[in-house]
Amino acid sequence: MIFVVGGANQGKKAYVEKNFGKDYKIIENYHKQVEREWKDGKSPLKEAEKLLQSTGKLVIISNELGYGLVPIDKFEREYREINGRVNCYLAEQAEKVIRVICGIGTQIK
Amino acid sequence: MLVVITGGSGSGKSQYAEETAVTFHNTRFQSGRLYYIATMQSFDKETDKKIARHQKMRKGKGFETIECPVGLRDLKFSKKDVVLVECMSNLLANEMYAKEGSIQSQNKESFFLEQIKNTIVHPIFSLEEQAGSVVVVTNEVFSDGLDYSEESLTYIEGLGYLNQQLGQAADQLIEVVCGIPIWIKKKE
Repeated sequence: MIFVVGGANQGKKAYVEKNFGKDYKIIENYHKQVEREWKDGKSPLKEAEKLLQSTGKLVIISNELGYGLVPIDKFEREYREINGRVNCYLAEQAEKVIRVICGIGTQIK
Repeated sequence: MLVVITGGSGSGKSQYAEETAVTFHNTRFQSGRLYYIATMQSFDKETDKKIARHQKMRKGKGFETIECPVGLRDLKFSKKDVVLVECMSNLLANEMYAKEGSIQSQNKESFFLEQIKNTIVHPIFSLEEQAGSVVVVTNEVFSDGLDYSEESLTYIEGLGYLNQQLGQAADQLIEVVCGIPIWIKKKE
């Protein structure tokens, strides 16, 4: 699995399409899935583990969310934190981690 | 030696900082002690849970914990000790908003920054002079829009100033992204 991470609107998807194209199954906006799971009372970490059991060449794209002040809203605060933990897990499991900033990808693992 | 570790929330920076401090202790400063300066105050269930999570993560790694929500300047260490301070974002908030804190944010800007220097930056430098190695954890709070209250903007400015002062003085500055260390600065 290849994990592509970065802030919103940084060109992550374009980067993935350009560099990985047809050979990979692409899951984008993974943070939105984490949000849904958290809302539904599931464990996003366990869901991520399940996802990685599927075989095949996979690219997961997700947003980095933890770069502002701690949100006042409880759900927002917890979601942002758990999304960070899920990202750590995906990065740990990934064969490659690419961080995209201003459209430029840097392989950090 | 001063090592500054930064990152967003949930980035894995604490775990990385702990590993760094333990490695320094085991490889270079075995005869000294390994300290963890904890700054988070317990107010409610949520902070208790956060504190418990960090305590569990540290367990068995050999840290002696010193609670220090404010007043970093009162701490003393020896040359063989490794000190991990976690974290600047809590410490600054405590110094600004807690009853025992000594930073007045409503003062004019230059004085506000001066107080940060005296209350946090200089005490960190003094720790570095005393101890064998100091690892400081801070937080990236600067990239999520700026539609905050004036009070929050003052806090962000203060933490930005603090991070710059520490970054300038640091021997190593590392940003942790999804648990992966990225070296911003490394003095050999």
